[in-house]
Amino acid sequence: MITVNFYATVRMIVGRKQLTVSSKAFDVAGLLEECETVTGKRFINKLLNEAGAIIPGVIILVDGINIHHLDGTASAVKDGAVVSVFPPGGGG
Amino acid sequence: MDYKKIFARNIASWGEEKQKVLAESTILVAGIGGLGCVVSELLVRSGIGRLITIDRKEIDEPDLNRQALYTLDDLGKSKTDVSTERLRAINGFTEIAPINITIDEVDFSRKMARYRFDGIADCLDNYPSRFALETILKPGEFLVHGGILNDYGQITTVARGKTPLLRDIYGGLTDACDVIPVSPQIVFCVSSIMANEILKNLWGEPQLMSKLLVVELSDYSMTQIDLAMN
Repeated sequence: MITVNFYATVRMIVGRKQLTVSSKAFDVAGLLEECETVTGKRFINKLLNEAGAIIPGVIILVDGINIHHLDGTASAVKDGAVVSVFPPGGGG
Repeated sequence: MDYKKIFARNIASWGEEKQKVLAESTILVAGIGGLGCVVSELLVRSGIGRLITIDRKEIDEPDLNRQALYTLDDLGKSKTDVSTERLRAINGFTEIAPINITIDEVDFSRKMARYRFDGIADCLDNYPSRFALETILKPGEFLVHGGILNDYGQITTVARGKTPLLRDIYGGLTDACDVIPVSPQIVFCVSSIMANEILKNLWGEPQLMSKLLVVELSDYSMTQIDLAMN
């Protein structure tokens, strides 16, 4: 199983704080599609742009590592992984 | 100044040994805005020996919803000038060393080379400046990062070689908006946790190394995201 945690404004977009999805072989993009299927809500267009890149203001961590330093939305998500989708506060 | 009287409640809470550690410590506070005002005040009231404060801006009207050291009378004045005066007036114990510079990639590390400190409070308001700030972090020092947006925020401790750096955590991130909406409540909440984590680092018991604490006032949740080094 893969656990996906949504935080702050992303949680409001998705409508769930946490999702657990079956451990098929996923990349991040595929995992988000599976989350849309599970929730019945369309939200990927609010997290990724038309080119499939993450929109400004959002980070995605797979097991605590920012996918920007992996393979972006093509990063592998293995069984047992914890994925965090978070819009970090930039203000001070 | 009667040190024992002023810090009597602190000493009763955490003991004389820990109070002595604070009195011998120096913290660099980067950014004396929303987070920086409250973090600085809490560190002074905790009994930190020396604060190095950095900012280059002047006080503006939109700052007054959350920047607790400033009032209407301070509009247009330098943040470092006013904050220095207010912080020195609290108890007269903490030495305040203000620096009026911009934190950027070009000259920042050279300008900061002569300053010595135990840790850094990242109270900045944008990621490029944060990435520049952490370049001066040396092994053995710590940086407590805070960031806020609307009614939520996040805090972590960064230690070079021991935890992911801010560039690791936030790499690729671009700021979503020019004017960052923030509630005064989240400023005080995140600042208080930052100040507490700074004390814990000084006492050798940090709680947020390789953990990103997310605080959300919408449902009063606090969640820790485990971070990993790539």
